Amino acid sequence: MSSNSAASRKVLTKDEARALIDRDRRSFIKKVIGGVFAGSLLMVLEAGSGELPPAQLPGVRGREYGFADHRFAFVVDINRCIGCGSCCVADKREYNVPDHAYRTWIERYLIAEDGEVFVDSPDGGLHGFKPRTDIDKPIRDGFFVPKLCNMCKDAPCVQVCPVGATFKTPDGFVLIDYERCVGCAYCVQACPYAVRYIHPVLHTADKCTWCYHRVRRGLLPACVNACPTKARKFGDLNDPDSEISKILRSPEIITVLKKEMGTAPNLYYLGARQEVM
Amino acid sequence: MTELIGYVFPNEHHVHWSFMIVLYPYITGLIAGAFIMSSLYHVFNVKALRPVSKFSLVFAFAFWTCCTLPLLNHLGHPERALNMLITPSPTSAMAGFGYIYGSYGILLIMELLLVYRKTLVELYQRSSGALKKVYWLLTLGVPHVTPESEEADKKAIKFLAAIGIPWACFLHGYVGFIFGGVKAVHWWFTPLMPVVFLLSACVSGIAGIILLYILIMKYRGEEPDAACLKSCVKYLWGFFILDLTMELLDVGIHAYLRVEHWHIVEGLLNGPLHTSFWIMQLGVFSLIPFLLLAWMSLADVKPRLLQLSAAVVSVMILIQVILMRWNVVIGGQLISKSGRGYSAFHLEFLGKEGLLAGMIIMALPLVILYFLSKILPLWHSSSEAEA
Amino acid sequence: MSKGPKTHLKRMGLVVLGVVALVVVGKLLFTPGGFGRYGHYRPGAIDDEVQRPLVHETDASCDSCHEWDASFHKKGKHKVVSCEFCHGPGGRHVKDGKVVGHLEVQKGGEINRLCLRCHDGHVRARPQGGKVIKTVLYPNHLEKQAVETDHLCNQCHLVHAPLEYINAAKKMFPMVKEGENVQ
Repeated sequence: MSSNSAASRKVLTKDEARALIDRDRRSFIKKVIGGVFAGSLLMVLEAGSGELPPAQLPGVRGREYGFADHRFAFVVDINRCIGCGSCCVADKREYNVPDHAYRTWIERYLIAEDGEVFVDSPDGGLHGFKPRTDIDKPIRDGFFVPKLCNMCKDAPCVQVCPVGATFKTPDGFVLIDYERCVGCAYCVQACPYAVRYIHPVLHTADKCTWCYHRVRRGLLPACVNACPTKARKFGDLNDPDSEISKILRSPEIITVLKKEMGTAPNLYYLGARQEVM
Repeated sequence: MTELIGYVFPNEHHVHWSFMIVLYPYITGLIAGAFIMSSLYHVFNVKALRPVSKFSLVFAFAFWTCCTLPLLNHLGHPERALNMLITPSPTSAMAGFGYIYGSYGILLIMELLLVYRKTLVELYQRSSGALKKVYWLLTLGVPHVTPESEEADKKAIKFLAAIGIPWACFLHGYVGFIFGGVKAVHWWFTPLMPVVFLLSACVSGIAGIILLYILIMKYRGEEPDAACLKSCVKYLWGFFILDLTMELLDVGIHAYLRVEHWHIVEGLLNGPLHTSFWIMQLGVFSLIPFLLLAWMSLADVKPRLLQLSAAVVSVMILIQVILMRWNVVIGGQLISKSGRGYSAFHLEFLGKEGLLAGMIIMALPLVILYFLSKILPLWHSSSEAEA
Repeated sequence: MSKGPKTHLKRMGLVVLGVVALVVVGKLLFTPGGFGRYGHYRPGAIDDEVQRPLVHETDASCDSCHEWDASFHKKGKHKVVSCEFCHGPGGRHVKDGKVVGHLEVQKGGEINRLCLRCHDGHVRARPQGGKVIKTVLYPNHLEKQAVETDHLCNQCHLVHAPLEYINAAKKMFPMVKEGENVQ
């Protein structure tokens, strides 16, 4: 987009750099006005939404969205999570999640030599993790476990919602109708994973949506986008080239949380030790 | 009142179903129990219960009118409550409540109008103006009774009371199902839950009737019918035996099976719920009433002593049942779904769902009962022929 | 209408039927349009969720204007760290092609706090072996590198490309070994 070469970069002064940014911005805006990005991107696009960043998910933009065309899944690789909390920060900002409510969170597991399991999640990992000083046993294993909505194929929350305000979309997302939810909290009780809460401002149920609004714009969920180590992966199982497809078809050991609940999650874990609940 | 123990998921720090949801099954239980008392007379012809048969019905109705108050107070959006009737989800255990509760109310009102038909006709004749129109409506525009119509009413009452029994059982057993059907909460997840709820409902209803019967009679300076009281006590004992058996069976089977989730339930019962479950619910407020009831049922107790001990036992059983509701509703939510800890619950006094609000909601049916008693005689007059 | 012994009972039945009819009509009247098209819910709720405004964009959005910073960011180890994590969501910065607000640039102690979120080696439970993340023990790391312990991370590490200066220095002074002060 810009013409400045690698050699000229290092001698730029601050002011020159700023001018460069301004120039680029103008050309960018010109392109937007010129319609390079306009029109073809989404079936549903709110008025005045402006331009979108390049697509991160193939096959969503530029055509009418087909509910049956996609089979999205989420994989969390426990061996790659460093517990930085970027995902939690992104999530809180994306949805303006109130304090003490968590659409997603990270748990820290420390397993002692004698098998005792120490789990904690201070503020859901929103501010990262400080070293634990309260354990004086030798630790044999430690790892972080990011948690979010399991998007169950057989979701208990959908089953128990008395008014049809929690539902499963034809493309497999469990969402909430904030206009019809009565706030009875039955879904909060029914979710085996405790991902639901009653929103203190909206007074309705709320939970992680795997960023449905981003996915339908061809973008990755905010947490996946923010994860620096690719511990969080998201993709379409109908796309054989997606990383998700490759992982779930590989001989890797893949688990889901609380299999015995019969919920058939679409959230899969790589490297989850048996202690993970 | 408990403290946070171990690890609980970040969203579990708040207990969503509060004191209001403890009261809700308590009130539906009182309704169902009282109705079954009245039906014992109307359907099964238990003559000894005749003195309390009308009162039980009005009692059930008074509590019915207030049953949704704790729910509405608890909902995040009470103004959307009718969504439960407009788009009830066929898969949800909770969705049926609106229809079951509503139809049960219609049944109660119909039975009341027929049981009190003679009274309403008299009131119509005595009143004038707008009130007369109200009574005209309540007599369905037929403000007179004939021996034939009375005969027809008796049959209709019997019919309504007969379908009312399964309906009352359904209403309350169903409330138990709302809890028993939540697989994510191991302390709730048992097919015995509806049975336990139903039996404890009968127990609380009978205890409520006994207590108010004795208190109202004493207040009026009359003596409660000795035979009636004795019968009530025997029924109370019978239902209480069944209730306790089921409560113990529920805990016992899980304790014996010792599958994975028992360990977290065990930690709950021996930890945060130790006092309210073992000591209070199954200890003091079960053992003492159980022994007293056995003694009152089997021994030849003098009327005065019977009245006193029946009142004491009723109070204790009313407490036992609310403890049971508390231990189920609050207890279940204290278990963290992480399986590694217990959440905390603090009952506030003044809050929206606090103790005071609960006390007001529990007192309201009694106020309504008082006003209803001004219009509808709760007791059979001595001159009235036995049916 | 003659009033037989059962007239009031029949009327009662009619009233009940009336109530039932009222409920049925009310239910039909108030059920939202399209309800049940895909399942037991209001299909418009899906559109509502789709319409939710975007708050975070992607690194590509930032790069399209901030080419200069991006050029470092893209080639360094920190290319995996999303711009918006440190600077805040793009939606608060640019809307409809216009700058609507300025994002934060982390300074001072906040820099260290941000770095240690990922790199603090005292936090056990991070993946071991350095394949996923290189952790340091702080402030031991500063002592080991023979710099003042009140130094901020960004005094040696360019935050957008943490090894940029280090590698440049290595190239310039190939004889200096790790732990030796360049000065």
